[in-house]
Amino acid sequence: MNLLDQLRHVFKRPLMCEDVNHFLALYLEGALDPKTHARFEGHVQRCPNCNTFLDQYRQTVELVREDEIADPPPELIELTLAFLRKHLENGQNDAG
Amino acid sequence: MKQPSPEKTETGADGREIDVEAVLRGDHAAFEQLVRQESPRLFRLILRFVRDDEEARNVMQETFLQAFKRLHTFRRESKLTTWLYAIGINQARAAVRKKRRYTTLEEQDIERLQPAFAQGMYVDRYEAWNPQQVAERSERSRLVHEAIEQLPDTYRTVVVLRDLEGLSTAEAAAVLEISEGAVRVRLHRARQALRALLDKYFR
Repeated sequence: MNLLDQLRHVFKRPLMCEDVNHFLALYLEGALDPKTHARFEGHVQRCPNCNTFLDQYRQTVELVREDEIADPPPELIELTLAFLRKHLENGQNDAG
Repeated sequence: MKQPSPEKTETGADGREIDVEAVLRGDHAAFEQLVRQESPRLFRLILRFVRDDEEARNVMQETFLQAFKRLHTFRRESKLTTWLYAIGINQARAAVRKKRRYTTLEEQDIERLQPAFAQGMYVDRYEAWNPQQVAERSERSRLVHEAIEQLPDTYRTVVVLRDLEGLSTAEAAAVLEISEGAVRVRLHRARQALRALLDKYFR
């Protein structure tokens, strides 16, 4: 990944909170390379504020994932198919 | 019965195979199968934009009609379902633009809701959350739902595609015709904005 390559180059110094923040999404996806993953976790273990922020970020994603909305009622599919048949038949008649 | 070869099919939202070749040939039965498989997810995506059941139904029907008429324009640069979702989202956006009934946050609000840093460290101190303290699950759900609804379209779409519908970064990028990097940035900023919006309720 270009972003990771760039950041890996920059990260010869210790990770700062801001660096850890940039990596939050990749960390939750398990997409960090092993070395950066270890540095990320090392920082979070030592930094209570980053630890709390990570926890809030993770909870935000979990809460969002619970925000489900109902599927359409089954009759909608039949109504949609009827709509399509009507319009496509009309289209064919128009073309003919 | 002859099975379609794997490269000529793809897996739909319900996990079943879609016979892409047959759909592209204009086979009505294959297209009907696509409608049956993809309607639930497409309806949810559209409803997130238009926020009205009746309108979502109309937009979904129009989306399938447009998709059928435009099958010849499908370039196989993405999955067929990805292409279908893109049409749906564009139709939904057009419907919302006509009405303009809802106000959402602006880009500068999203910026304001990002954490601030000084010398690489957070400016603010964060307190642990306990969402369970909002005792009623329905109340928690309402607060989260309203926070998502406040996001501007460009951010809400990414949250819906990635966190709610479970599309990959690559798929979301293809639907929105933006780079994978842009999807990642928008998702991160959207989640941070949501975190900030929910903070006052869950501390």
